[in-house]
Amino acid sequence: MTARALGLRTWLLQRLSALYMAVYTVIALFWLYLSGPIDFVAWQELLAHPLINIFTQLFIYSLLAHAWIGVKDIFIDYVPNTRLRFVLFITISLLQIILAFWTFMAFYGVVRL
Amino acid sequence: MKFRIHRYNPETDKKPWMQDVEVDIDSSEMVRDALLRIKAKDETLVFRHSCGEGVCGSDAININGVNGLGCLTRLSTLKEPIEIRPVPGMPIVRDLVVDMEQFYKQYRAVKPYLIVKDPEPEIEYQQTPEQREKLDGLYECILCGCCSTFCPSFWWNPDKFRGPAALLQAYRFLADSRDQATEERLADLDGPYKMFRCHTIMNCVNVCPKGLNPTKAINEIKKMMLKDMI
Repeated sequence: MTARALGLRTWLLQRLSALYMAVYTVIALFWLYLSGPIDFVAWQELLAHPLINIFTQLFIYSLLAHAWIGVKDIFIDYVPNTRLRFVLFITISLLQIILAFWTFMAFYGVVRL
Repeated sequence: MKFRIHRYNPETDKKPWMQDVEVDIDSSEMVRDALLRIKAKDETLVFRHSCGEGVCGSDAININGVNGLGCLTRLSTLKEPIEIRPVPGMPIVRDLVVDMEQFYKQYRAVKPYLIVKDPEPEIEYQQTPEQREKLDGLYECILCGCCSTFCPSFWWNPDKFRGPAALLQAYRFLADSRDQATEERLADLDGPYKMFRCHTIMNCVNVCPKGLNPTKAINEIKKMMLKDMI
């Protein structure tokens, strides 16, 4: 990753992910409000639909990317020690990758093609 | 009126200390007038000042916790005791005087001058009134440093983050129709530190004694970068 990628591109990604999450949240809340109380089976049914499955996955990836950029910014601001910052940065990045993989596994398990 | 003034003489004091002073002064006067009154009684007090009307930008100080110019801050607007400190985040030279080198270094780094690649015009550069209008709200900066020294991002990374004052000037030249180094200027400001340490905290906008808006300028630079990328 070049230094340049951590400037404009991460800034843009943070904004785009925020926008996606905002739109998704409004639509999802509206949907849930209309469909009333939902049990476990209904959740599975809902997420088995490929489009809903993909859009919900995207929401979680957006959340992960958004959080990764925010936490990275906090490290750059508040952790002046380069070595500690590097360790924290690698830790949070690995955690995010694991979470993304876990998300994919979970959603891939319920989708019905 | 009651004052508490930050005192520090590195030759005699181990640590900075606060001096309580009472001055007989009318509240319609400015903080700078009060400091001059105090200095007349105690000449060891050191502070910077020059024009006394908000043009030179010498007397940026921290008044009751907020940065401002001593010459433009009226005493009647302040709660007593009035606490006067040097601007935060900078190395203190003595009393209210700070070393501004880091601030100037960031200012110099944005190349605050026109860069023109074409041969210079024989008579003069020409601008339409509309092109000239774009520089309003940018060229008026007096480099007092109130904004940058009140910016948390500048406190954490004063060596890498350009700071609001320098970024306002960066945009002043990006917005100038005569300047021909847009690409280079934008490329230089990309990356995690130089501009993107700005988290739109907007302390700079709140304290600018000239009423300028560095946050807006920074957003304009981001927009230019986006257009440039697309």
